Amino acid sequence: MELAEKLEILAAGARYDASCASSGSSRGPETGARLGAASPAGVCHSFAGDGRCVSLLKLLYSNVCRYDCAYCLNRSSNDQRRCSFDPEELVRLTVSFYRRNYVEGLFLSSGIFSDPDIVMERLVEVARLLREREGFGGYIHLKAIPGCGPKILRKAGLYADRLSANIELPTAESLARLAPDKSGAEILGAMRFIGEACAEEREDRRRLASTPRFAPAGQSTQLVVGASPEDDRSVLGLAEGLYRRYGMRRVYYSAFVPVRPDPRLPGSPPPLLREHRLYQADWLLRFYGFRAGELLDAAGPSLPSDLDPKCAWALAHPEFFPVELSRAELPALLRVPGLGLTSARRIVATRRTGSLREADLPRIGLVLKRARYFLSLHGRRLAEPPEPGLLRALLSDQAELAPAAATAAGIGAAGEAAGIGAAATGAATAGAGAAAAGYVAGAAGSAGAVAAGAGLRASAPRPALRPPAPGASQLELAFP
Amino acid sequence: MSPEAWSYDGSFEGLLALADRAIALDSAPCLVRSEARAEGGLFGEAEPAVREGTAAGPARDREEAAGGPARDREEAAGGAAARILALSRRLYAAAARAWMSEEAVEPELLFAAVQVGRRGEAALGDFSMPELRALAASVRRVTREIHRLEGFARFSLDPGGRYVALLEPDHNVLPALAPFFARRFGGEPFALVDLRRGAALVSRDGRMEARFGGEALALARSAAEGEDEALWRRYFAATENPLRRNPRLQRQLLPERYWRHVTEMSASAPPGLGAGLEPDAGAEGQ
Repeated sequence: MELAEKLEILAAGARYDASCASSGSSRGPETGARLGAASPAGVCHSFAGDGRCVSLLKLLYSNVCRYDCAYCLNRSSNDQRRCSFDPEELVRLTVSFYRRNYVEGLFLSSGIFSDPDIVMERLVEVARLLREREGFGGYIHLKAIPGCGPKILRKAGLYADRLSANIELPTAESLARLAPDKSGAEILGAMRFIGEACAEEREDRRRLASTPRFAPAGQSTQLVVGASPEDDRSVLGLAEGLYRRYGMRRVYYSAFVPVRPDPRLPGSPPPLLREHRLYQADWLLRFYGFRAGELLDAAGPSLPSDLDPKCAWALAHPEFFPVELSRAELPALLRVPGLGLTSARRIVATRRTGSLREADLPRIGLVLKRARYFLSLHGRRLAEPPEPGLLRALLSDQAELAPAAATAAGIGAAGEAAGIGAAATGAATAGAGAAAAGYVAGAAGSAGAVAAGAGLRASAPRPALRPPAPGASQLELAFP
Repeated sequence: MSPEAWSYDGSFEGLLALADRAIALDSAPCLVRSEARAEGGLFGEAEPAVREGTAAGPARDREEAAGGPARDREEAAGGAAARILALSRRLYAAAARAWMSEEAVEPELLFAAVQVGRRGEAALGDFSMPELRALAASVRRVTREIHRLEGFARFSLDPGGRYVALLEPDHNVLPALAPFFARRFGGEPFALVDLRRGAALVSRDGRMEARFGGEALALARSAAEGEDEALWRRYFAATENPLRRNPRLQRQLLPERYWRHVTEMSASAPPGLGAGLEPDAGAEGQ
C-alpha cells in the first residue's frame, strides 16, 4: 500500500482521540536536541474543519486490532481496510512535517495488533529513532498500551513528553459490557505506574539534576461519553479522582459517535452540548477551585443544558453573593459568572494601584453582562438580580453556543500549561473516591488493590463557600 | 504628556533610548516620530534603519540561547536597554511589542515608562488609565499575531536545502519569530520572508541576517512545494471528523487572511491578499 493511502487510513483511525495538546514540556538545543524544540505553552498549527486544534501528527501505528470494543471504529469486527506503518515511515513523516512547521511533533497510538508488550515496543521504537538517531526535540505523545509491562512503559516515558492510557468508559461495568477485552485494572495500573514514575523523577531530580526525565508533560486520558448510561455526576467524579490520584494533566471527553450499529449501544449520539458542558465543568475543577460535588449532586446528576455549570452553581448558591469587588480575593472572584481568570486577575491588579471605581470596570475590560448580578462595589450591588426565572434566562448561553461547541478540547494547548499538576497529590473527595474505587471494584477481583487503596480518603474537608478568611486561599482549600 | 514631539530612527534601541529618557525626565511626549515609518518604505533597499533583529522577554532569552546578538545591541544602546530591563522586564517586553506594532503606540509606551518610573512595575496593570489600556491592547494584538504565526507559518524547501516561510503579518513581527524558529530548526538553514514589507530574515551560522526588496522576494520565489506538501494535505483532510463539521469555528480560530500561505488551506484561500510575489509589490509597504 502506498504511503499516502496508509497515512489517510491511519489518520482517520486516530482522529477520535481528542487529545491534541503539545504543552507542558520543554526541550531544545539545551537538552541536546539537534532538530526541534518543545515549549511549555504548546502551539496550535492548524484547525481542522470540525474546529479542533491540530498540534501533533496524530496517527495509529496500526489499525489491526484484536479487540472488539463496541464504540470503536477500529474494532476487529468492523469491515475496513487494515494497514500498519513501518517505524521508518513514521520517522520520515514526523521530521518532514515538523520542519515544514505543520506540527509540534508526533502523537502515536495503535490498535492492539499483538501482545500489549509488542505493540508498546513498536511505539517506543519509533520514539527512540526520533530522539536518538534524528536528535528530535519536538513533542512526542505515546499511547500507553494497557497490559504492557513496566519495563517497556518506563522506556516509553524516557522518550515521550506525554503518555496516556485511555480510561475509555466511566465505570468498570460499562467497560466489561462494551469493551470486554479491556481491563479496568490494567488501565488504572498503567496510570498509576506513570503517575508514580513522574513523581519519583521529580523527587530524584531535586537531589540529582541529571536524573533522566520521565514524561515531562505528564499523562492524560480520555473517556467516551454517551455510549454507556452513566450520568455527568459519575463522569465528573471520576475525572476529579483521576486528577487527584494519578496527577492527570487532562481528562478528555469524547461524545460517542455511532460508527456501526450495535445492540449494546444507544442508537443516536449524545448531543455535543453534553461534551461541551463536561469540558466547562472540567475547566472549573482545574482552574477555578470548584469540586465535582459542588457542581453536581444526587439531586441534580446532570449538567444543565441552558446554563454553563458556573452559572448553575451561582443560581443554586445565592448566599455566596454578592461578591465585593473592592475586597474579595481571587478565589471568590473566580466563582462569579462571567468573570474569567483574566478579568479576576485584572481586578486584583487594579486594586493594588488604588481604589476601584465603578467607571474603571469597563475600562479594565470587564464584561458585566452576567457578572453584574453577582457583584457589589463598596457595598452597593452593581445590579439587582431579577426574579430567579428571569435571571436564569438572562444567564443562559444558548444563543452563543453554536460556534463554541467544539472548542473545549481545542483550548488545550495553551490553557493546560497552567494546569493543576500540583494538585496531583492529596485526597480525593468522597464522591470522586467512590467513583474511582467503584471503577475497579467492578472489574476483576484482583483489581481492588489498584484503586480502592490508601490514597482515597472517605471524606475530605469541605472548602469554605463564603469568601475566604483573610490569608486563606480558596484554591488551596479546594485542592489540598 | 508634554506637547513636544520626539523622534527616533525606528530601531528598537532607539525606542528604548526614548523610554529611558522619558523616565529620566519624568515626562513623555504626545507625539513620537519614527524615521523609518515617516519615510514610508520601511524596508526599501536603501533603508538601513531595519526594524530587524531584536526581541524581548522570553523571546530575547531564546535569542540569546540561539547565540543571537541581543546583548551586543544592548551595549550599543548605551545602557538604556539594561536600565529598562533592570527597572522592569515587563516594560522591556512591552517596548519590544510596541516597536513591532504598526499602530504607532510609541507615545503610550513612553507614558507607561514614566508611570513605571514613578510607581514601579505594578503601574502597568493600572487599566484605569486609557494610555496604559491602549498600550496593553496593542501589545496583546502583536503578541497574538506572533503566537499565531509560530503555528501558522509554513516552510517549503528551496533547492539549496533551506526552509523558507512566506508571511504577510499585520505587524512587523519577524524579529520575534526569528529566535523562535532558530530554536526549532536547531542549526538547519531557514528564512522568514515578510511579503508585505519586502523584507526577510535569513539564518546564517547561528545568526539572523536581513535581506530587503528584490533579494527578499528572490528568496520567496526559490522555495517550491514537493511530495510532502501533498502528503500533508491528505493527512489534514483525514483528521476532520465529518460528523462534527464546524467551518465557522474553523474560520474563527484560523482566520481566512492566513490561508493563502497555510499549505492545507491555500487552495480555498480568498483572493486579495498576498500580491507580494508580483515584482516590486514588496517595496510598496502596506
